[in-house]
Amino acid sequence: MIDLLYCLLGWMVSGLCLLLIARRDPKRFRAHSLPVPTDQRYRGLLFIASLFPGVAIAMTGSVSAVIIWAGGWTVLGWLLALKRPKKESASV
Amino acid sequence: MIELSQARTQRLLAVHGWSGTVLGLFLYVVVLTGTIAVLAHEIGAWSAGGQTLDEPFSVPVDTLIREQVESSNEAWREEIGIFGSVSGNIRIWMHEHATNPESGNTEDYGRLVEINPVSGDVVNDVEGWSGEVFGNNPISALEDFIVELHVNLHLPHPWGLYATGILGFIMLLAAVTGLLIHRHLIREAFLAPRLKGALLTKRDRHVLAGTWSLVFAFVLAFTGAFFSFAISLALPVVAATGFDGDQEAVIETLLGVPVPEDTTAVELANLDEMAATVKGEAYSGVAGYSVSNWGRADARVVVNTYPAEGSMSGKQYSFEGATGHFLGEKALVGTAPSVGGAALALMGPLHFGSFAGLLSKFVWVALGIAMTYVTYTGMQLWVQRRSDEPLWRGFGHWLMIVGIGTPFALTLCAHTFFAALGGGGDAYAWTAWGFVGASAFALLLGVILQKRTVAAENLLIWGLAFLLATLPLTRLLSGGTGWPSAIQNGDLVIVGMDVLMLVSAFFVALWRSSILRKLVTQAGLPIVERSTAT
Repeated sequence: MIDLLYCLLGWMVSGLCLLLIARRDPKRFRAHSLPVPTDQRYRGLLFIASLFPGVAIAMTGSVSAVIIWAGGWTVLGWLLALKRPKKESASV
Repeated sequence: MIELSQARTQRLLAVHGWSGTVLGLFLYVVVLTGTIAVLAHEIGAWSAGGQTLDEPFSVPVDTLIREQVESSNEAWREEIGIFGSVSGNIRIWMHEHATNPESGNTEDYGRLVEINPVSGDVVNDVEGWSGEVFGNNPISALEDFIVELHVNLHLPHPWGLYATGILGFIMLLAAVTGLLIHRHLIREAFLAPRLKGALLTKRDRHVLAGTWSLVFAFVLAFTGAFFSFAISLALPVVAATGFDGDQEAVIETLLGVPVPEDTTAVELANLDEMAATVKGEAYSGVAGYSVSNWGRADARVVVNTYPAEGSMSGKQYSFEGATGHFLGEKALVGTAPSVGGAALALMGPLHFGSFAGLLSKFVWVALGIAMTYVTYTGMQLWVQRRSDEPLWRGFGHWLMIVGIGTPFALTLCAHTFFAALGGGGDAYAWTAWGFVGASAFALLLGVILQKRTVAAENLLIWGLAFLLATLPLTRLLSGGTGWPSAIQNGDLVIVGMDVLMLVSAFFVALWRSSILRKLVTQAGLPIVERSTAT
C-alpha cells in the first residue's frame, strides 16, 4: 500500500514535469509545422525534476517502489509524447 | 550521443533491421504472450472462478498436510513441495527421484494432492511423473497454454528454450544497435509521430516507443534469455561436467541444504509453529514450504515467504525438521549469501514483474505493450522502406495477419477453454485446438484476401473486438462465477478480468471505428490521431 502511495505521488510529479517539457519541446512543434514555443528555459531542470521522485522514493528504502516508479515513468513519457501537439499549446 | 561514421551506422542499421525482421514474427509472439503472462496468476484465478483464500497459508495447515503425507507412500517423503494453487488451495507434491523409463532421465515421481485449506476437502489427487501431474489441472489449461507459448513456443524441450533464448538475445541486440544508430535519441524523445506519409509515421512511432522503453527492453531481454539458457544449456553443461549428468544433484547442491544422513524415524515438528517463528523476521506471508526427508532425524524444512513491502523478492528460512529448531535465513544459492545469489534473486522479479502484487504487474503489462508495439512497428518500418519490392510487400501483408491474428487466436482459445470447462471437455486439447483453429482461419483469410490487406485487417480487428467483448459472456454461460457472487466472496479478480476484456474490446474497436473516435473526441477525451497513410 505504501508502494502504491509513493508511486502515485511520484508519477504525478514526474508526469507534470514531462508534460511541461513536451509543451515547450522545439523539435516536437517544428516537426509538426507549428510555431515553436519561445520559452525554452528550465527544460534541463524539468527533466532532472522528473527524475527527482525516483531519488526521493529510493531514500525511503523501498527498492520495489523505485523500480515500479521507473517503469511507470517510461510509460508516462511515451504516452505524453505520443499525443500530437496543438497550435494553442505552443504559446504556453 | 555516440558519434559513428556513416558506414558504421549503415552496418549497424542493417544488423538492427535484419535481426529484428528475420525472427521478428516469433519475437513478436514471445513478447506479446509475455505481456499477457504477467497476469498468469490472475488468469488462473479468473479461470478457476475465484480463490478459496488469497493466501492459502494464512490459516493453520499443519494437520491437513500431515494427514496427506503420512498416509502416502513412504518413498515419496524424500522431497515434498507445498505451495498455493491458482484456486487459492494448497498443493502438496510428495515425490522421489527416479529414472523415467521413457526418457531415461532422472525425474520426479510421486503424488500431487490439492486440498481446500478452509474445509480440508481433497480437490484433486493424482499420481505420476512431474511432467504429467503438473500439466493435468483443467482449470490451469489457459494459463499453462499462454505461459508455454511464451517460454517454449510449444516446441519440445529443450528446443523451445533455445529458441526463446535466442530471441531474447536478438531483442538485446536490437536494443543495443537501436541505441547506437539513433543519434537524436534525447532530442526526439518528445517527437509525436508525424502524419506526413506512411514511412515517417511508422519511423516516428517505432523510435518514440523504442526510446522510452529502451532500459526495460535491456532488462526484460537479458532476464528472459538468462532463464531460457540457464535451464536448457547451463544446467545440463554443469551436470555433465561435474555431476555425471545428474541435473537433480546440481539443483540440490546449489539450492538444497546439506545435512548428514540420519534415517532414524522422528516425527516432523509442527509447520504452523515454524510459520509463527518466521513472523518474527521480515514477514510478509508464507508462500510455501519445502520439506526433505519428512519423518526422519535429518529432515529439513524451508519456509518460503512473499516479498515484504519495499523489497523485490521473498525470503527463505530454514528449520531442523525433527526439532523445529530455527536455523535462520537460507541463502538462495549455496550456504552463504553471495553476489550471485542476490543477482539470481532479482532475475525473476525483474522479468515477471510480480514483486509488488497488481501494482507492479500493471506497470509490467504497460511496459510489455510498449515493447510489443516497438517490435511490430519496427517490422512495419522495415517493410515500408522496401514497399517497392513485391516480396517485402507480401511480407507486410503476412506481418499484419500474424500481428492481429495472434491476439485473435489467443482470445478465441480462451473462448474454447471456457466452453470445454463448462461442457466437461478436455480443457487442454480445446484450448490448443481453439488457438490452432483461429490461427488457421487468420492464415486462410490472408490467402483469400492476399491483394486486399486492409479488408483482411478490418475483419481480424472487428473479430478480435467481438471475441474480447463476448469472452465474459462465454465464461458466464459455461458456469463461471457471476459478478454478484464474486463481489460477495471478495473475488474481485473475476470482475477485474472481465472489465479488462471489455475495455480491451472498446480500445480495439476505437482503433477502427470512426464513429467511436468521434464520440470520444466530442466527450473531450484525448485520442491519438490515426494516420491516414497506410
